[in-house]
Amino acid sequence: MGIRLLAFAVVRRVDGRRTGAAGWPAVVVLCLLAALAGAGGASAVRAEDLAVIVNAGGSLTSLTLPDVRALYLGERQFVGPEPVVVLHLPEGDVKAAFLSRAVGRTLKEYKLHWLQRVFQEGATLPTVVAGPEAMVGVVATRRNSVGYVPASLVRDTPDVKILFVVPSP
Amino acid sequence: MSVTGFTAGFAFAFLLTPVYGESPPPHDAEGLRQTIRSLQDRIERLEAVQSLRDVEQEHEELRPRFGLNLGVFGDLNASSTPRGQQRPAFGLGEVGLYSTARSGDRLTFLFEAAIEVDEDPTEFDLERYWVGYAFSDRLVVRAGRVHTAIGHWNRTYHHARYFFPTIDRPFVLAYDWVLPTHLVGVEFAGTLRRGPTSLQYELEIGNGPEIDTVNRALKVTGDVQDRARSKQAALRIVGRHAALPGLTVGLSGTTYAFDVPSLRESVIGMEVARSGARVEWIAEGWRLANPSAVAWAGYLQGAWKLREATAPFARFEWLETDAADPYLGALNAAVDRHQLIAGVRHDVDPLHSVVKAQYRRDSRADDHIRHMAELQWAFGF
Repeated sequence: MGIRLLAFAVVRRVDGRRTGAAGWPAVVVLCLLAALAGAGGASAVRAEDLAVIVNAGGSLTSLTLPDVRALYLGERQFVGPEPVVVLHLPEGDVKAAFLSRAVGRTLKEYKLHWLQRVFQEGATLPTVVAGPEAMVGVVATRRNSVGYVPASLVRDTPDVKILFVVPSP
Repeated sequence: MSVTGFTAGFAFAFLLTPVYGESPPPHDAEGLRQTIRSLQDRIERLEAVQSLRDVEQEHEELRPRFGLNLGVFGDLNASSTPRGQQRPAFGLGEVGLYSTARSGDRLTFLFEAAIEVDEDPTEFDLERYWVGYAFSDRLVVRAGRVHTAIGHWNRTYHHARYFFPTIDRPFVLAYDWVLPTHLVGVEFAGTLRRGPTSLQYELEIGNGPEIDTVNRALKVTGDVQDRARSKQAALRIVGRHAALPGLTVGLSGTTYAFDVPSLRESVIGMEVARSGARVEWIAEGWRLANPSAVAWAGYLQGAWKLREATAPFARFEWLETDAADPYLGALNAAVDRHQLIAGVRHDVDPLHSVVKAQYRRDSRADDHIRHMAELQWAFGF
């Protein structure tokens, strides 16, 4: 996945927009070099995969897809007696993909669900963080926090543990 | 330079950016002094900002937490021939105000009041009003006025018709009528999980309802001195399985007693509901029993999304009674009644406004069959 991201970045930086066919050989060579240097890493996850991450020191030690769904729908708020801090990204492609694949809702349906849930039982809305990097940072520092980011962002990140990978469709 | 060479060179420079991409380090003493002064200034600015944030945080904690999130729901209606009237009429529905407040992760407060503007005089009713403490997912304790745990609809839908799939509640769940929809007391609720299965429970103990013999209505006793002869208990258990997301199966029961008429009423309910992306259906039934008579009530309802914002719906409701039932007789309900509704709900603004149109066939054994066309514009802000 790192290779693909790097390739994309390099392509973008060549001339401000995607290069034509003539630029590709150099890009491919550079990407292979980068991969050999360790930037690509050995990972089975793909760029579209989303990692459900938790604080490594917290009590959330295992999660299934129904668990993730229950947490993000507000049906589950605790792990044992300890409250779980559920984190969301701002509205965008990653959030929409996560809601669709992990929670089974569109963004509109998800908002309506929470509107009703707040009205029904005064439920607390998940906290929205600034972006994927901030998500990793918050999860690293908040015990029992759970979030989701593109899987490439959490490789070897201290204090953050991937508990579940939501595969690309 | 060829495009390939240019690309390679540029990309190589890009790869080295993390190492040499920053501004060149100063090599002389004056440069280092400037850097230190710049960093000191930056630290001072950050400290000032942080101290301001600390003060703001302190103030935030002192601010009243209730009222910052006051929401309003309402509905406006029109009906061709409402029961009891002979001509079409417009109607102002309830205006509901609600707010929630929290302290930390465990203490929650919720308040919902309804202004019934079509009543004379206009009524202001406190519909839900409770404070709760969550020990864990397994145990949440709430005290106050809640919706009684007697089934899916009564626990899922409250006074905001904006959320209703249809224009109104099933008639057997009408407020202050056959089933006690509200309870003042204490509620213990939670979810017990084992593997893919979960059991949700709601146990309530509160003041028993009383019958308003003048208005023939079921009233919740909300004051401290409960005038009813006994307390009311209610229990609802709902099961879910991960393999069947959106499907719930549940049982509920409640019992309460009256001095006038002197009897104990026991209600047992069963519910099955499926909430999916396109199709939603609910089936609920109740057995209402007292020493003199037994009655059966229930409804089947289905709604399905044709398009993103449009959902046709249909519901069949029934109440089958014994004409000598003292409980239903006191509530002017000891008569068989069947109702069929069919209509469509359209989201004008999916989070704030819906319009609904429905046909209702209302068949009551002591009256002729009524056919009604109804419209509703419901909203929430």
